[in-house]
Amino acid sequence: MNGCFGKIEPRMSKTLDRTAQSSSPIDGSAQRRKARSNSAWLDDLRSTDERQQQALDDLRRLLFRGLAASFRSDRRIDDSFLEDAAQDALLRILERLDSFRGDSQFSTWAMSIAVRTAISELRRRRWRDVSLDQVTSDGALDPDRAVDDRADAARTSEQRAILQALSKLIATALSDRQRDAIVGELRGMPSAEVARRTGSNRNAIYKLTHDARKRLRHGLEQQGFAADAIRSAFGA
Amino acid sequence: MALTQQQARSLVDLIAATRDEEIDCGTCLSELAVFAEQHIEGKPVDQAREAVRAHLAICGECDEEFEHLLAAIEAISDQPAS
Repeated sequence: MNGCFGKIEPRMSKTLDRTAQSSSPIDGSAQRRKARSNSAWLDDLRSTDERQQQALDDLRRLLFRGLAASFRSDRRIDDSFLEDAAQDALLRILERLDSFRGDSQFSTWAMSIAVRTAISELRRRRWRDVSLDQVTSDGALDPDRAVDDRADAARTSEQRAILQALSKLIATALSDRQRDAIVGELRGMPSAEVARRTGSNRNAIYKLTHDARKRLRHGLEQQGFAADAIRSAFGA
Repeated sequence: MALTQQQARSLVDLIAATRDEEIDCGTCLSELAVFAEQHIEGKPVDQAREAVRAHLAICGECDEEFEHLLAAIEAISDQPAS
């Protein structure tokens, strides 16, 4: 579902239902997780006896707790979402155990996967009914609209010159795919959602926008607007 | 509707911050756990992780995930070390 994960996987999988059913409630209040070293986490999760089940229960509870705290201010989130996200993340983590390098705490590494799982799902829901065309239509840059009139006259003039050059570059130096990806990004559509609509993946969309930014930067440089001049004009 | 002033400004900022070499989101994720632990410990960004810092400055999506990761780590840090 997300290019960053490398392959398409079932959404919010219930594959580990046995884990969900056998564990205690994940309200984060009662049972404290026993301390585990990184190697103990790996050994337990790879075991074929009751240690694996305990480790799965512990890890799922840990992920739920972290996600609940991290997303508590998001009104779209409820316990059901968090439980699904923790469960889905657990599946992903198990599939990627061999890629854990051991240069961080295992729990931190696992949590990074859980956070991305949850955010990806939230983004997917947020943008589910929005087409790429809706987002990218009329993505031209109008210098008169974009210039900051509150700046002094000299800076306003410099801004206008840069924006006029940039407007032409957007229209002439970018491919349609690059233009759509850049405009989509500027209008808030996540790259994974752009990728979903274009048969691509998140990494490829990032490369697309990176190449577009480089092309625009080089075009501006050729017209005498280096990065320092841009920062100076816009106070960046 | 053409790009708003804010969107145009974001584009200008992105262009000014663009490097010839940038890591992609997948590479950033693979380094994010270590980067987050170093951040929490107040360690300066080492050379190996400088590309992660630069990516987070450019990529709002990865930066959002980083902020959520920090909050999640903090929430579980009162439990015994894993």
